[in-house]
Amino acid sequence: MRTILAITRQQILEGIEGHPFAEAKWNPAWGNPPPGLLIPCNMFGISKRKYRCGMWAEVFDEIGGIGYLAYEDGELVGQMIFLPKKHARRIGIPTSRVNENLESTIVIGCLVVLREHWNKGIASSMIGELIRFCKDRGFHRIETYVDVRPPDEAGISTSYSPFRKFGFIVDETSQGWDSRPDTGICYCNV
Amino acid sequence: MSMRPGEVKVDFLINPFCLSDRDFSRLSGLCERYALMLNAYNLWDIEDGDIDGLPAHVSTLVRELRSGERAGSVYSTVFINGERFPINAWHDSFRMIERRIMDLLGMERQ
Repeated sequence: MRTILAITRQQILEGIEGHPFAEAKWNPAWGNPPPGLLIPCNMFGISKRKYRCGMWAEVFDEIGGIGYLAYEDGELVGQMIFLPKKHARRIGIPTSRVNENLESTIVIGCLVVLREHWNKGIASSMIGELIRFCKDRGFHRIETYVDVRPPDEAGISTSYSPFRKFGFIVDETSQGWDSRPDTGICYCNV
Repeated sequence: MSMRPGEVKVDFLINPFCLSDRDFSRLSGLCERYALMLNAYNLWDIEDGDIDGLPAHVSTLVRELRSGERAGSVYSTVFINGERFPINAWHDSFRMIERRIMDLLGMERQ
């Protein structure tokens, strides 16, 4: 059974026990495994970290959410993290070059699903939740970086495929990641 | 010609999205090992009105990111005497940073 849960303020501050990205060692299936690398997602467990930044708690307090966690039969298998475009620009997260509506645009900065759970519609479930969130909270546009190559070539990068189903369009004028020419920005008006 | 540790300027422009704890720990360890001063700037804490007061190499990058002129990332950036090292490939980025520090200090690489 699938469950999509909104990330809570408590999780931002205290963390999530057994989080596969925040706690587990790098999964070789994600590609290019650096030996022993931990994936310490800073959006969780801020109070326990050596370097602390209150950004995620502040974003949560401002808009009422920062993302979703996807569970399959009780196992955490995916996550989405988002923030308003005005904040994404402030910290340099990939966004489109469009400078209008920074306040009413949401940017997805992270969308990951464990490889063994790909092609089950989990990413789509989280995108659907985000669209509902945006409609409820007065956000009119969603942007995200995507790897514009076919999913098999894109590897662990976020694929365009789940976004296309929701009507997202690739912005041909914007590169996604500074260091990854194969990435672009796609967007959707909601 | 070799530099003394006090002449090697390490500026750390922190992107707090997801990996700043990991990168801060690694970089502060390096600076401690080579007795270097680390200046850290968190993008979240930098107000637009304060950008002009940053070192020029840092302020240029911050302006480019905030204007949308430069494509973004979730990664932080290290500057060594103004030379930019994006931390976009673990562990290679930090190997490059350490090599640069050692070169500036005139230390032999292992």
